[in-house]
Amino acid sequence: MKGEDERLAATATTNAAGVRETAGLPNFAEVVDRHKAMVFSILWHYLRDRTAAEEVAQDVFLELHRSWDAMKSAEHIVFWLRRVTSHRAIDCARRKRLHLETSLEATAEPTALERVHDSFLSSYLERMVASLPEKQRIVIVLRYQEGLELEQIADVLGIKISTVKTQIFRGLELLRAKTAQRLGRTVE
Amino acid sequence: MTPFEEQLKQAMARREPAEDFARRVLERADREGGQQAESGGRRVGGKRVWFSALSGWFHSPRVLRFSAAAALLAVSGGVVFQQHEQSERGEAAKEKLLTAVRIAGVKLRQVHRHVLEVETPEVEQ
Repeated sequence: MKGEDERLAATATTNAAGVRETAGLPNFAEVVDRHKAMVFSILWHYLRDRTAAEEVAQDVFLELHRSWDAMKSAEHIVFWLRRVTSHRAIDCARRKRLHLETSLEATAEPTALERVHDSFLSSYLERMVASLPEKQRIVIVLRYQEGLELEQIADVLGIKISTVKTQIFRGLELLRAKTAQRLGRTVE
Repeated sequence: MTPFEEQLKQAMARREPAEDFARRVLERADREGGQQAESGGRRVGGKRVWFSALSGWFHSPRVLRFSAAAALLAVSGGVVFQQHEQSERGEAAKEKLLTAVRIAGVKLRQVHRHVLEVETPEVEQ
């Protein structure tokens, strides 16, 4: 994680007056507009609480505003947002003691329609993801919402790639088993 | 990617926050910036320079290493001082005990002498 910061920091240049300049750094309002869906969605998929997700998303952007001087490039901003949002999501769930880690057995059964339509199955899967254990949940969100590679997820969360692999594998196993059980057929 | 993972990817599609989300963030950022300006300190890009510099100084590896060394020194100094104190207290107690033994010895000798004085005339008779 630190290494990534340093790598991204290297893209910044220093002018004759000693003031840091960054080529093509968008302004704050543009960044909010461009990345609000990403930040909000990570929080939404993790917390499954729209109000909490919006509040924390606002806090993340305010923290970005306070740390604006440290931003080196557009790429750095995205990396920073993903990292801070992921950690804030975990903190928020712990602090509020949202009962998201309830047993998968306790998750509501899909309706008859959910068994038929993919869109309803998607909604069911979203709920299932939100009920996964903390570590599995955040890696699944970063992998399937953000489409990040294992190495990128490891950088964002500051964990080993092997841990990311294990957590994704376990999360998928759990989701497959539960979905298969609900649908009454094997899921590949 | 397996069909299940494709389905999962679809399910995890990004969503938009409320329409006025960006406006609220920018308003809060402006308010926060205004409050910081009122509370003093030169600001660059919405952040106070002195605070940033101080925070950076406290988090620099050299300061952290120095703090760790100072803490280690303080702890080991405390342990040595405590051992020294204990040793001094032990020595003082030993001295007191020796004095008490010496006093007791003198008294014992006095009593012994007195007993001999009392016993001697009886023997002579």
